Amino acid sequence: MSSGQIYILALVVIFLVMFAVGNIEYSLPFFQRLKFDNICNKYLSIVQTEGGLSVKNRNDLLADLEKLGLTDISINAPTKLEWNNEALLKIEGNYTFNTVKGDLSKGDNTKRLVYENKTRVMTLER
Amino acid sequence: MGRTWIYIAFATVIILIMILSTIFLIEFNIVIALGNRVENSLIGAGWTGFGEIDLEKMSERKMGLENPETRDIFLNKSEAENTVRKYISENLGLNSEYIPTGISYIPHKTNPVIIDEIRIFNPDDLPAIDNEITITRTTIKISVQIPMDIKGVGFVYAPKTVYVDIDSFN
Repeated sequence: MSSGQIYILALVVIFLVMFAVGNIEYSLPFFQRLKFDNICNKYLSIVQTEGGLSVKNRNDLLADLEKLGLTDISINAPTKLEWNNEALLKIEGNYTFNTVKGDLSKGDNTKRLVYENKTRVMTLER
Repeated sequence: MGRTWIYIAFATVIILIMILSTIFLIEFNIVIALGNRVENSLIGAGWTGFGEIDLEKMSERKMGLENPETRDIFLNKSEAENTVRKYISENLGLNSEYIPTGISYIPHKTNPVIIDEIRIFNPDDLPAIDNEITITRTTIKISVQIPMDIKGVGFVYAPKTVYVDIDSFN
């Protein structure tokens, strides 16, 4: 193998590694977003069936979001609403992840995740 | 030297494939994440329809009231449909023409969201089979099309259908 071919091979390998790392790092926030939405929707269903979030549910939600790596979390939810009242669940939190910048240095990137959905309370006996 | 050019061409093709696959992966992730958010919003909107109970019909029930398995809910179809439509609009951040507004998380803000169908399955419509899904309990079906721009593909409408029933409350 000539030196030119080794040089090309090295360039290709570097490119492949950079793309692989970039892809993984870029994909992480999407997966976190999916998890975040699914957690929030689970608690929207609790708001709907119980009329709001109890202190325990609120703490559980907070713990679930912190486990995801979110910080500066804000939860806006009713505590107890009557049947057929409108309920809004708004949850916000910062998600920080590492990215490789153009100069190949690592840097923090923070995204504000926001979930906001309305429903109506259906306190059904099951 | 001849072989070196083959290597360069080969390397260029690999890098191009990587760039294209990266774009595809990112777009795929965006579509999946958006689809998941829309689904959650539609489920929340679908639940609101269960507040529109057909009291007249419910008062006629005599059998099975003591059993949660047979204690079915009859909905006022037109009221339920209007309520679900209102909350689809609110949860997706749409204006009166169903076009995503500035507060909407749908990135495409020019074309409207198309609400294809809001269908209420009451107990007297059951059992029913819809799109190969067997429905045995009071259910609200919501079918919409979400406008989106996908790199390399252009503008498309992505269909989304959810079935909301009492079991999906928990």
